[in-house]
Amino acid sequence: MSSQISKYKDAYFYSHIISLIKEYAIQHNDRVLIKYINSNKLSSYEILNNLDNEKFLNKDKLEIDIVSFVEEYLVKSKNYIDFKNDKMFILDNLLNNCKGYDEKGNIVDIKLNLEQKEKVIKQYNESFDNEVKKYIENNTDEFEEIFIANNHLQFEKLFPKTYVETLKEQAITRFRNDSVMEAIRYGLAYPEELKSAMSRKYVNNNKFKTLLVFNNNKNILELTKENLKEETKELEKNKTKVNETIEKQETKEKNNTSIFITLSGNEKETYKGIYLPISDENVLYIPKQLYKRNNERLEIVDYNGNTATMSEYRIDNNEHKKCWIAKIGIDEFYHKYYRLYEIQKEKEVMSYAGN
Amino acid sequence: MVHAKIINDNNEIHDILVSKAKENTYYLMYDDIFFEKIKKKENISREFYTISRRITNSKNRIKHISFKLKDYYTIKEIYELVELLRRKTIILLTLFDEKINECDLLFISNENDLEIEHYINDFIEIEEI
Repeated sequence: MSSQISKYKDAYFYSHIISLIKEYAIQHNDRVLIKYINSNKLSSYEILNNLDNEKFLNKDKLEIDIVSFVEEYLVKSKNYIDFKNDKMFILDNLLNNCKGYDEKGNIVDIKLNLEQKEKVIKQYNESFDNEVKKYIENNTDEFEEIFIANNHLQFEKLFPKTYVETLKEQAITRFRNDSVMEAIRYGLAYPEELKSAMSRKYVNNNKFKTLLVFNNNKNILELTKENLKEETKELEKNKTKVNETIEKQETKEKNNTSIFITLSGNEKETYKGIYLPISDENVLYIPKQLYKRNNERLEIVDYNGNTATMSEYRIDNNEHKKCWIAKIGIDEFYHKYYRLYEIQKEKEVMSYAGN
Repeated sequence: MVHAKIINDNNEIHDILVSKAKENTYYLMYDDIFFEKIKKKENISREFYTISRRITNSKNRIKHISFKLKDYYTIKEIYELVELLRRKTIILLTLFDEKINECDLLFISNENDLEIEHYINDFIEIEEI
């Protein structure tokens, strides 16, 4: 047999075995194995040398038992174990999806070189215990990007305002003092009920995402302008986003309904909102996000998407107690109570109290 | 006797909220005019931190006062006490557990702290705890 044919046979055989292993990896949802095969770490020589063994061949000797080969040889091989422990490959999605602030404070994509990626992996390994690392590596949909914060102020800016304050402060203290990687869990800032309505930035596969934050407090990454990836495109993207936002706002504003209420003087305003007496036993509570006050006139604005809602409470005025009854929408409020207050809908006068 | 303590870090606030702001305890947040009963699984921490973050600054120190009442007191009486104390400082949160007659206040510490303790001692008959 000519050596040319022999080479061809080997190449064909190698390609066939690789496709069988891939098939196995896909069926078993084994991300690491898929990555291992795609990275061409498994050589033709290694396959030919180790597969030629009776235990990997079926009884008729014409079929290869790929399951046995993978489970009894491949995943136990030194090359594979080394690869599995090399976080550079496991976390490559994260490492290729880095963000940070530029000089002007804009959020930009950052492209890390190999040395910088190794520093990120080093900090990752030193910051989390094995349980946490295992969780991160098996839940890649929850950890989709890594943010590089150059100081604690940049780090602080990443927290949603509703984040659990104590945990935020603990994280900031660790960031300042311990130079460790931190995780911002959006699940700690937003209630479960909001999950379905939240954007991909916060939620993926119906799971709240977690943002990993690399601690570049001591500038160990030594980022340069060359690390900022396609900054101009990012800016253009931002411009487009701004335009989209303006358009959306305009659309929203067109759909807004304002209701003007002339106050009677019996209302009680607190830091968070205003109580409107409805009867001796009931009040309506309007959070500040939903109204603007101008002397004795209140404008209730129903912004689309505003999560604040008006509520009805049963009250005991003597005891200074309240008991929540129900939420109430702006239209329901208007139809239910327009006789009680001097209420006017924006542009079109609908009705006046006392008529 | 009134137990008063300056809060040193957020963990202490967290502990107070976890141990005191329990189901069926009445709470009065900041300048609200109505007490409300804490419902099952309700957590008022977020509301407290939101208000506290907006009201306080880095120089402010928060103080916790806890006292047990000897006799049965109504919510109205507790409210009246809080109204009185509001003239002396900013009360961030009032918690009142009717079942055990225990009251907890989180407020901004200032030069009136002793006066506040005296008010509480004078106006309410306190049971030693």
